[in-house]
Amino acid sequence: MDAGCVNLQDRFPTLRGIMDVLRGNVTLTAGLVIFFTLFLITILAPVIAPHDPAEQDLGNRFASPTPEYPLGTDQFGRCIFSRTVYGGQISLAIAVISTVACVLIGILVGMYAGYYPRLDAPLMRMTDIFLAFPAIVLALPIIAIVGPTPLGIILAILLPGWAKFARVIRSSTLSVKSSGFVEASKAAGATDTHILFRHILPNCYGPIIEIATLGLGSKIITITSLGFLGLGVQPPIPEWGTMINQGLTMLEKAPMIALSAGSMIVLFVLATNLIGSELRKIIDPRSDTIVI
Amino acid sequence: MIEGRGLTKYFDAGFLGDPSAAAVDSVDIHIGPGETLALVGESGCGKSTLGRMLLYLIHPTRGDVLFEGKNLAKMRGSELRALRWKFQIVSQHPDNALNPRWTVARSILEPFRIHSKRLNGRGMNGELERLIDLVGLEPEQAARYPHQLSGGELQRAVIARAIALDPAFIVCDEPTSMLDVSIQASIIRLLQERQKAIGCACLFITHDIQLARILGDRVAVMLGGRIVEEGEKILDHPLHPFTQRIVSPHGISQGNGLPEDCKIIPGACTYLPFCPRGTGRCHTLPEIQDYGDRRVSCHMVA
Repeated sequence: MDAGCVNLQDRFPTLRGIMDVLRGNVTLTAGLVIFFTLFLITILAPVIAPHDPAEQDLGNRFASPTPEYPLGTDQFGRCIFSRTVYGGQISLAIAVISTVACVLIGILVGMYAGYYPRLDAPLMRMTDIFLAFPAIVLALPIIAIVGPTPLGIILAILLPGWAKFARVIRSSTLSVKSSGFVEASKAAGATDTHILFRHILPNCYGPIIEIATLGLGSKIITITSLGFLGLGVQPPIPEWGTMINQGLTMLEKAPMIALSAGSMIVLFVLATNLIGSELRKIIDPRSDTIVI
Repeated sequence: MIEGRGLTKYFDAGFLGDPSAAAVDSVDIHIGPGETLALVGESGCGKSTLGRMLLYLIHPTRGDVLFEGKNLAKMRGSELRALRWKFQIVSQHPDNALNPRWTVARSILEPFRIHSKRLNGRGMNGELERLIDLVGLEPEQAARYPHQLSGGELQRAVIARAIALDPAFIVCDEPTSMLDVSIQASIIRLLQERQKAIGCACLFITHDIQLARILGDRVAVMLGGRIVEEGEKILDHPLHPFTQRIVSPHGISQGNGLPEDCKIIPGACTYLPFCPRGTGRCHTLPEIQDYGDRRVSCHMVA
């Protein structure tokens, strides 16, 4: 196996294979470093942040950066640095949970539609209906019904989000279904469940990992756009989208509120796009279009 | 042992396709225990479809498949699956016949996982050793993933999986056509040897006339979805004009085949557009008839 040319479709990557790929691929390494740094910062927020994110110091509003407040304070005298660090927690948690849920629903719908010709048309037309609406159009009424809670936001992302995953997994299923090992397994008397979960699903891992990574970035954007529209997580819980929304009106007075949250979003989406597009090149070197 | 009666398959031609094109048309076929039937014909004549119908991987549009006297169409899904340890397939493409995510050993042992009763208390490891020894693989090769093995080694692993449960019927669908010439002979010898040892019936699909002559106890020649001639020594003394053409010194594999763009005349003998002996009678489809040692589908033979 040549270094830097591990085909994820062919086998499970070994640790050594992964190291070989990373050594030859700066873009992927950079993406992964940014991604995991942001994750670590967010998880370790209680250790890193100098203040409680909700702690107000009204005598010290709109302060300039000082050693005590590294990015200054906002209109209530809260530490912007601490709020930015904590703000990732809720955004990333919602993004990860909703992406996992999208993947699971996408796997079930996509695999069954691809495997059973009889289910294909009904399941895919249903998928098309969800694809036909812009995500935000489906998200708004859900938030209106469930309320701007984390659960409401997850539902608002999930409902329009799973359809793309179902489409991609269906097409992978169709191509794996016609291969010789599925036929041999069927000829030997394997049940459909065995074929679906032992043969077809493991051979779809490549595309699944790829779209899940790209999806994670777009979920963050959706969460923050909801926050920006005032439909996201409600104050005083720190959240990047809400921070931008509030910081925008004070952009001249305290630019750090919107800029710090904004740059975190940019970094995170950049990282997922770098990882996703590099994974795509490794998985399928012939195509260069991005699904999500 | 295994028998197909009036097997016909129309594939869904889609909205604009020609719905009258049958991939396989009213084929009667039977293979006895321990017998090898070599099925020859050009690519696209329905050989593989027929083989898969006998395994009931493709459901026939019309006709029945009988295995040991039982009609597979009348069986319930679970009943049929339970019987399937007796069926195996060795396909044309060794490079996608094994799950790329599994080690070769796991693929070889898959039939035992599906039919765990067939182990009869023997250990998986012992069975693996026995099988890879039979097909001539190294234990170290079995621990690898398929992409790390060559085509010939992969085909040996596929054969190991196919013989794992001592099946009663194996379909070999051009098992050597994708392999190097230097490896083909050893794979054929291995298949022949294992088939004799197990005593299973075998449908050997090929477009290689010489291979069919060597391997087949009987040979069936297919043309345009129908069997045109079938019997024991038909390749030595062909009666049907198409069989005569393919056994001629050039053979079908050397460009002596039929022109692909030629339209088949509806209702007429499939071979009429190419037949040197065609007459007015040939505008009706000839029935396949017994002529002593063989069955032939041609008006001009009688």
